[in-house]
Amino acid sequence: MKLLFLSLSLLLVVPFAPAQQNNCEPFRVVLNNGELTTPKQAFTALNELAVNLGNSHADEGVTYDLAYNYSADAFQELLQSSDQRQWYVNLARRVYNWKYQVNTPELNEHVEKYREAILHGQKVLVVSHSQGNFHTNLARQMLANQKSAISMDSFGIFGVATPANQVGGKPTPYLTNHLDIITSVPSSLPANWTLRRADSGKIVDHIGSIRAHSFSGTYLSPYYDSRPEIVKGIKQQLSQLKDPPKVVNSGSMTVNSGSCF
Amino acid sequence: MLIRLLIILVILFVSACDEDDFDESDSPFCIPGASADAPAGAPEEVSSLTEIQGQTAAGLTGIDDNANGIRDDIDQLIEQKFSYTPEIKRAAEQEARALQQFMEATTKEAALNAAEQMARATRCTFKILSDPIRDYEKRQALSKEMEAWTVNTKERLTKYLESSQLIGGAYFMQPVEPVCD
Repeated sequence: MKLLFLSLSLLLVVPFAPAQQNNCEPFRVVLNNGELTTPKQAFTALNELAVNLGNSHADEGVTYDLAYNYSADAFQELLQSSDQRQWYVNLARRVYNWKYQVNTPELNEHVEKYREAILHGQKVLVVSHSQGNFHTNLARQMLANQKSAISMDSFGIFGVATPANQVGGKPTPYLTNHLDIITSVPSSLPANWTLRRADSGKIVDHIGSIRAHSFSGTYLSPYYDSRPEIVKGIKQQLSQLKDPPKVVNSGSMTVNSGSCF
Repeated sequence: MLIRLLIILVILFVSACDEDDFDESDSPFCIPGASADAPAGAPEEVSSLTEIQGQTAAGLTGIDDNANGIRDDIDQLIEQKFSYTPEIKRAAEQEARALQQFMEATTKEAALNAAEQMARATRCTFKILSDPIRDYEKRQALSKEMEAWTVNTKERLTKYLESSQLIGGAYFMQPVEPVCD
């Protein structure tokens, strides 16, 4: 009984801690970055997403987090290569023979944060770019298979430039443009967007397949028509997320009040 | 068929790098001005998007004559390119300090702390340059160039990637206000 009282007291106190204030909004959009992305580039991409989506959705607040993946092998090859063209050859091999193994221990913290957020009454949408889609798909499986179940209706994924063959077990939602190098990955979801100039509507045909893969440089660039489509797609997914139910489990109490505490 | 596809892919990669409007941050190896034949281990200067050259001597820390926590070459870059308003200049300086701190981190804890500072600094830049369309080039240029100049030698790039590896798998929540120093 004392323990319960203490727990409830803590729950009541925490909302007033300044450090928690802006992380308690109803929506949490998380970027899961792609291959060969430095932390700085990932933060830049995350903030590009944030300025385009805004701080609220359907009159509810949104916060933006980063679930960071480091590409050890790809960066190692980069550092060891003395020949830029040879590095491209190796990268091409990597892309063509994509046998990607998700490093599960790296995912643990991500999964734990998604779970915490949902248990705290938040809805989580992960926007995954490139190899981040493998991570997020596996994270979703881990989340769904945990013994203490949570509401998976409060967790969503939107894929961008995905090399995977599904989005959280479903064929959509995602956006991959027709020039993107990622479409060369065997069994990846096909391109579903013809990239056009935002100003003229003219189909883009020669920006290069790596450039076409860039999250900030192409997908969210104001020069191309993919930006409003991605914003629209993400907002649709946010609208479909359900508030986590108020749950009181036997044994331990899991409280959801529809807001963070 | 496989070989043909591979060749096509390679050409696509290389041609992307050769394009005038190629975004060098898309591929860290596609450094403007860097020689494709540069030997491994040799310092690689970043022939930057600006006219000035970055310091390539003095190890990781570089030279900071005015002791403001920012390398003199980065100070010069900020002065030349990112001082169009006082608040942009402050944001650029905040980014420079965070990037340098991150590059020099030697433990996971230090790298995580520095990455948190990098998250604050980046958010600060985007808070100031917040128009999705009008400010796009400005904030992208600031973010990319500050990083490129910070890691403008092989030694610095190597150390920077080591710090990045230390924080692989980390989760960063949105920084709390105030994000600007």
